[in-house]
Amino acid sequence: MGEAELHRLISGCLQQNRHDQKMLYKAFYGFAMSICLRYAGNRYEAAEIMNQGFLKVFTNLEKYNADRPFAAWIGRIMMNTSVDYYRSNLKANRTGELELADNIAHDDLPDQKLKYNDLIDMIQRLPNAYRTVFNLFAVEGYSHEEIAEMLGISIGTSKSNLFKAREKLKGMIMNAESRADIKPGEGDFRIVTISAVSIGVTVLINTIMQ
Amino acid sequence: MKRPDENKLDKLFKDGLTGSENHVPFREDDWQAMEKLLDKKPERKVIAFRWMYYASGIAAMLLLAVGMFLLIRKNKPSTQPPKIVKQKITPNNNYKLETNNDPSGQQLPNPAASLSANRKVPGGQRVLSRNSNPFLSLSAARIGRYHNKLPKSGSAGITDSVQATFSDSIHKKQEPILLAITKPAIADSAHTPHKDTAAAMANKPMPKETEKKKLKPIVHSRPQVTLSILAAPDVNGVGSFGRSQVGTNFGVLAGVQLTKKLAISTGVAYAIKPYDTYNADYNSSFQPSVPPTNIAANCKVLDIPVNVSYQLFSRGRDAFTVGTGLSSYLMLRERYRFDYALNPEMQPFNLNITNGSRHWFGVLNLNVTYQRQLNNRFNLLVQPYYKLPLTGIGNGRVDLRSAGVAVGASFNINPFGKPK
Repeated sequence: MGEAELHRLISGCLQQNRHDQKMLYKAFYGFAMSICLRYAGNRYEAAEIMNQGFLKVFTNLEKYNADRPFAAWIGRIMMNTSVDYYRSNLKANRTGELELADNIAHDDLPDQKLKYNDLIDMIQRLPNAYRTVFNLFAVEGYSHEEIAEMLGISIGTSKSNLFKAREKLKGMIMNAESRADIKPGEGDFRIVTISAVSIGVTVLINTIMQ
Repeated sequence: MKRPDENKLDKLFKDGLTGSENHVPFREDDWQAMEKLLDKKPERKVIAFRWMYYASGIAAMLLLAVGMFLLIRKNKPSTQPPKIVKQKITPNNNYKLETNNDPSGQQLPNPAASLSANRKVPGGQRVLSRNSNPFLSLSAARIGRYHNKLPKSGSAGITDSVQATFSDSIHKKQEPILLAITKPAIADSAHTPHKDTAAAMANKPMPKETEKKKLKPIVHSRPQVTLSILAAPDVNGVGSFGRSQVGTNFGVLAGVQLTKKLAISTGVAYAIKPYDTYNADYNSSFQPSVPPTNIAANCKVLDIPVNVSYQLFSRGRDAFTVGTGLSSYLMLRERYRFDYALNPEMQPFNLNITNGSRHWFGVLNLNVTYQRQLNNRFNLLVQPYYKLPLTGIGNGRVDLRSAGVAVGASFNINPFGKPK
């Protein structure tokens, strides 16, 4: 979308033009959803968070500084809305201070590239507290001090949550790898064998009964 | 912001997840949910602490109402002393006397007369000439004010003829009004020889003690203002109390006794309302396609009740009253946990809303109060109550009912100080 078109849409949204609101929503839907999906536990939660974020966008549009990229502003709102959504139960997972977060052995991870859907699935399977810290640290690039301040938790808790998130993600990746190691066709062979044995037994029983 | 370390796992996710907007196709359903949010925006737009402005507005209006009520009550006695004085004096045939010498000054029928007498005391003829001016007899307040000065400044200077004129005018013009106030008194005074009363005026001033005695009942009828502090455990349930949870309430109420039996009260209560509900009873704008099996909620609510109560029974120190009214719920903080027990892969989802919806007069209050007087100032209160919503409460628009027993104390306050 060009700058001129974006400014026109923003002007329309400021006048509460529903059509322009939809166009803006549609234009940034994928971007906003991609952020919310990795903070949310599932797609439905992500959609709810995203809509709450867009509501903030529409109601605070007059505060947007046109000198800065619009996408960055929306992205920031989506991230903050996501964090706010899960802030309540972040402290519940406090397990003491751990300094091991950076010591997870990651060299033994396979070099293969996982698909986007697999990555999203794995990250969504993390508990909320681990997922939020992992996102902020690994994807957004915040430090533990910044994360602790943003979430109202201690630096130790932030490190602990990152450690556990990495541990769980690594386990998921290794499991995915082992499943992928099963040779294609091996499963088919087993099914054919079982079917043949079943048919043979059935024929044998029929023969005896006669 | 720091660069994350070169952890391979982090990099895998960062590279795989960023720039992934093309992986998410647009869904019309999401926009429809968004439109619902936008349509609700005016009432859902949250501005921090806005509820405080509304609460102060309500408090100001209530104060104004109570103030006006008290003012009216306060003004009433000022019109009553004539009645009392008249009743006292009438047996002595002093009707003429009291009209000129009454310190309260309420008896003079014609403001023009009093006004003239006050300004130009010896000019009795002028008084007479103004007697007929209808414009000057409009302000009742002035009557009293000007006439109050009459005995001090000019009673000695007023000639008999002027007094006689006053008495005539009183009988001609004031009689119907006085009849309306005190019939028996006027019945006697109607036959009073006026010139004799002028003489009696000088000899028999109004006894003050008697006046006080007569005033006492009026003072007693002043409204009592009470301040109550209440705390209550209650049960909260959606639709019924089948899956109820126990909540707590703390509140401060101010009450005004309108009559011996009727009182109004208002105040503010902070309530914690936990409850469990099924998805079917939870009507959020966003309807997920995977419905949660249970929704556990915990809401912090500011409850602003306006209640009327009627005393059913009173004996000795004990009293029973029944009350009803409407409460406004201002949702301060709402926490919802959506559980997906049928789908183990889906983790519970938490939704937090701060300063959410406001339900003005959206809850019906029903209560019965047992009151035990401890001393002149303090009363003990036990109040079973039931709160029935007239509108959906909170984000889920649930039929949130509450029933509990409030326990507390009330403190009697007299806004005018102790009655004299």
